[in-house]
Amino acid sequence: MNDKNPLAYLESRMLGSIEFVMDYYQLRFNGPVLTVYIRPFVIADGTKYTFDSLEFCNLLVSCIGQAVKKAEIIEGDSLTILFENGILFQVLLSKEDYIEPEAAMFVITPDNWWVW
Amino acid sequence: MAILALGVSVTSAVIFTQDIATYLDSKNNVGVTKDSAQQNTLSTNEVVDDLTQTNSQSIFQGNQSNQSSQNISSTDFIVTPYGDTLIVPEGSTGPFPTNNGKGFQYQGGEGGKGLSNSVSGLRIMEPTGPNPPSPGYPNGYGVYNNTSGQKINPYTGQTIPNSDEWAHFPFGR
Repeated sequence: MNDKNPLAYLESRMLGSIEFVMDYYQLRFNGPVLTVYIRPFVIADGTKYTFDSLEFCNLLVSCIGQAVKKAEIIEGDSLTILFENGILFQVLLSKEDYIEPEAAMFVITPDNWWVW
Repeated sequence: MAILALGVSVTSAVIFTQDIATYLDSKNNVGVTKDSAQQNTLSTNEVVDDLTQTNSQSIFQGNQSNQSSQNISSTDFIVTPYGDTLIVPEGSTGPFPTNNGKGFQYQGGEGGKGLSNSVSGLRIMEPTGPNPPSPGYPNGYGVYNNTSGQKINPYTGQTIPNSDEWAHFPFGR
């Protein structure tokens, strides 16, 4: 386990499902779950789609069944997941972006978890 | 003082018995940040260490039914130095600290003691500063979740948004 970048655990794992929960998102990787509480966006073909655009949901759903090519968290900067279909899922983690007390939570097991 | 549930049959408890900052001062300020928005930061990793080691200077007191097995808990409730009482779901295990020192959790279990049967976990989290629309939680906060890890109202079991007042139960208010 990479202590500085625990999200590396997701690399090569497939996104099994996405839950759109009230005002946040849960990405499930057949075990590990990444919950994102502040507003994410996706980038596809160089275009950025924010959470409030119709394409955001469509693009995110298109990642279901895709493996994670690269996943990285840099505290105070960003959380990034690149899927094999080329779609980038990102959350910015600067102080200004923290409109909630927590930006994201990553749970592998109840005793192996992170909050940012 | 805030109390999440009444009429509780108390068999064991986890209680903060001194101010978090005082406790941390006695530990050479381990876990206290210099960020003004984060003063009095609760070092939850230390709390869990003390809880599981039954340290003589522990800021917790109480009983756990299975003392021989670390992280197997039958803790009934948690009391903060501010008088907040949080019911721990029946049958949950913990405390499990985050790997990055932001809090600890009890997970599993199912309701009990006045909680909705949908409650399957409780997180106790570090203080955060205000950043609108988040009001900030200078003394930390608690979060109840269901089996899917979604924030819920602990009484109704209803899944709630982050903006709901039950999503983050503030300590010391």
